Amino acid sequence: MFIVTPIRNGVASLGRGACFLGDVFVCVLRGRVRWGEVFKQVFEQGVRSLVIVMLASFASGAVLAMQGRVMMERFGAKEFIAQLVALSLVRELSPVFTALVFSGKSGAGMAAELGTMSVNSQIMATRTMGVDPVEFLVVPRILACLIVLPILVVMSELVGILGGYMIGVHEANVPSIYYVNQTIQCLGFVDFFTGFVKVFFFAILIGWTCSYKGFFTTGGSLGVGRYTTEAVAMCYVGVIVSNTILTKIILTFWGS
Amino acid sequence: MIRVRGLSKSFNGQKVLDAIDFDVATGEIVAVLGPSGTGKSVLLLHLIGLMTPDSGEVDIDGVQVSRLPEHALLKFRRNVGYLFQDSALYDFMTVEENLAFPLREHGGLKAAEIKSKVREFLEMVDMADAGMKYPSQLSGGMRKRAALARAMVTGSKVLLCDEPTSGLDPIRSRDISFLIKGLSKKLGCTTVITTHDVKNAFRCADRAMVLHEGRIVIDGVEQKLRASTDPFVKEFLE
Repeated sequence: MFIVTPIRNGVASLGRGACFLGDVFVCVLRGRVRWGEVFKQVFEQGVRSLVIVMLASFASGAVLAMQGRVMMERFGAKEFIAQLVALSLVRELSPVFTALVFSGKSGAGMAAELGTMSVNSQIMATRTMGVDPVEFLVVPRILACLIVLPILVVMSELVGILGGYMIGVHEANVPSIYYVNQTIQCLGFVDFFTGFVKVFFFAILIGWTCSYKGFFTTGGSLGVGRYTTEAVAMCYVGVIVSNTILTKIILTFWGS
Repeated sequence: MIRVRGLSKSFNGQKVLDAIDFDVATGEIVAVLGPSGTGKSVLLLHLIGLMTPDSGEVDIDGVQVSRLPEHALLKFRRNVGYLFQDSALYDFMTVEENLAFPLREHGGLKAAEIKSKVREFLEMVDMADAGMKYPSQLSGGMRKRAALARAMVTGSKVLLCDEPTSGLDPIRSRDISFLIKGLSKKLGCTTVITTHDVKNAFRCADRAMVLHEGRIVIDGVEQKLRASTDPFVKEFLE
């Protein structure tokens, strides 16, 4: 019985979550999108995550180049640091790192905002005024995730490559022009494409999870804290697990 | 006019509302009295269609609320003002923006008309100077007044107030009670107030009823309630 109840609750919660996402899709497909609210959210979510994403990306690019240098020098191939940094960032690290940071900053903010609105009856008040709260509060947030996350990932890739360049050129003494040329030559359309397939999936996952958790928050201020933490933890697990599955699928079809 | 017939609702097998019947005439103010946890808020949520009854019907101005689908309910609710116990003002909007929100949503008004209507209602609740403030910058009484203005700004002919005096000191409670009465009468609203604040209920209501164990045990004017020999009613009113 102690196993059956959590499984039953989990399935019920997944069903409710699917209906919630269905409502969001219905709003979007019927054109019930408040673009003013969407851009307000784009600005808020972007500003929230920008600095930390840039810092994390610069640091990962730099660390990748430092570790890469040690490995590559053993094989006398330190010239390939540029490829290592660029391909790792574009195909894997930037989408995943950015999604994780975005979950912790913007996702948490989204869940906490909606959670506070829920426990303070503001979501119910929206209904009493004859306005669909999913259309007014949820759709703009999820669409904003779909706009902001890809932009952040592109910026993260650029800053990460810059971090790698600083180490590659100034510490590993790879010629600057050579480093830049190697970076440009090694990156193909398929590398960006595979990264972006993941990014759009992560954006929906984060927007959906955090909005859903926030929207159905109960239990006052304690509940807001609990549901927000749950939302972020679910995003982390979701991003990491789905990344493994997506990577396998992508490598199967576009491995070369 | 509000007509409630045989309204019943249970949660986990416990009956909260048990075949309730009552009418509220157009323009009348009725208070639903009862201690906390007796289902007063549940009753109001049925009136606005945020809960579906197990059985029974709610009819507001000829609309069978309990039978409306969700999209029709959203339209119906535009004609009903709802004052929440905790005000439920949007904390990311100023008071003016809060009042303008339902007007914008319901369409048909130009920006200048919305602005003038917002000003008119802010003056009615004596908050003309607080329009640019955020809810977090207001006192409890001011938040209640702003929420009352938002509930009525669309010209709703039905007003539902959930514990309007809870959390307020006796003076603010008296003020908000008189304000509800004044505005309801001025705008011709049919009003239902749920409260456990007996003194303020009689200040603003034309009639009151007492809810106990899911049923209305008495319904009438203040004198009738005060003269009741029912032990629960006597104890509650005292």
